[in-house]
Amino acid sequence: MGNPSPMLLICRKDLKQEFRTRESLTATFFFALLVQLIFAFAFDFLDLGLGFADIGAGVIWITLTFSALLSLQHSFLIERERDCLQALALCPVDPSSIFLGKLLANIALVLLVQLLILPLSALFFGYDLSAAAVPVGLVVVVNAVGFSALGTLFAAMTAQTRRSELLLPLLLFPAATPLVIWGVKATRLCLAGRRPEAYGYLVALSACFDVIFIVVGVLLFDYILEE
Amino acid sequence: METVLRRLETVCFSLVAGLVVVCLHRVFLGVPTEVTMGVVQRIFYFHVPSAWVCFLAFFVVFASSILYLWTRKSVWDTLAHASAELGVVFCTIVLITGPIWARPVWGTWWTWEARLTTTLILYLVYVAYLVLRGQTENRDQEARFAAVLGIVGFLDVPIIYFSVKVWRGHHPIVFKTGGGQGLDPVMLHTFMLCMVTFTLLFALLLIQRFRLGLLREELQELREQEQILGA
Repeated sequence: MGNPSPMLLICRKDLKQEFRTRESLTATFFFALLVQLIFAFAFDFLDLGLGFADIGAGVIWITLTFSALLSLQHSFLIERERDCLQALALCPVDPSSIFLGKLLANIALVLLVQLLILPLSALFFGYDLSAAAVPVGLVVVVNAVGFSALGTLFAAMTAQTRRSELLLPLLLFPAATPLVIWGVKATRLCLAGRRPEAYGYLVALSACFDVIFIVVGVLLFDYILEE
Repeated sequence: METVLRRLETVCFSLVAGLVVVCLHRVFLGVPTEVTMGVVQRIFYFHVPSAWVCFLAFFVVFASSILYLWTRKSVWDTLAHASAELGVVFCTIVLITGPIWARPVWGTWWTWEARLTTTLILYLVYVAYLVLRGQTENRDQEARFAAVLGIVGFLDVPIIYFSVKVWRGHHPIVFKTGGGQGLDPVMLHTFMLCMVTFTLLFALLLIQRFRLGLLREELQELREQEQILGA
């Protein structure tokens, strides 16, 4: 193996750090599990006669946005300790590769939690995920990429402020609404067992947003790191 | 620049002071009452111009954010801050007057239609923008972060609008502003006059808020100098 690009190095560093400490992953997973509990109480499935096909999309997306928020938050808070962020900014590499490296690691962690929680969620609410697993997985991946792109950009910013835990959701949620809106809609169509023609355009458009948000991140990340 | 701003402010102030009186007279006494919607339709003379000013204000934030990152002159940041505050104020007016109109005409205070939803999200983006400004460590950081958000937020507007539209399907929009062929010319003139007045009002407030920002910075500098001299 030759020299891996700085982007991959940063991604590897983040993942290695996470798998050694498992700080964010465990906490995020159990938080996501907790959200399932709240859903079970909030929407009394049996009493209201609702199926997972009806409101499963809501369960999946609320779980995703909230748990993703935690891991995105964490990815830059760890850099705050011992001025790692400054060291990262001093790296003789293009700032965009720092952004992309962080983004890759974030996507991996966000999706890993989803991979664990999605089957559990279906199991809790008595839904057979086997048929819809692939389309739902695709929708989640496509929309989570854009969400993580915006999240990585904003988390880099908020980690440097005083109230990062408050600011990140405040910045991220409104800006990321397009992806959440379409993610929910496409997921609902998948869960209802609709054919790919019914939701394919939503996934394609979300993929366009992913590209836009990643490009915006690459262009603007430079201004966030400089000191 | 100070004298130019002052002069502009005086001009804007005298124009706005006169025009507001004319507008109020025309809106409440001049224009005929709309046939189907009744008296409540008159809120449009405030609602639509506020919406226009709100978008204009956020555009100013966007433009000055780009100019700040490009030139690194703090005046652009001051201008962006001033404009964002005004945008939020006018957006609040839009979000309050809209439901007041919608209740009797649509029969509901709120509906998740593309325009309404976009305005609400936009409002939240710029409220977050103002919160972010208050939470930064120093002046330079505040300006940089705010500029980044000012750019991302504005680029997001068409995306949000488009996505809400697709989400809701292509619902027919129940009304058109003024609408139909039978638009009374008095209504149209009054409407245009209100648009001009609100735009001038925005200019006036923006200049004032901008000047205040500049003065605040000057004061800050003087204080820092004083500290250095005193130490």
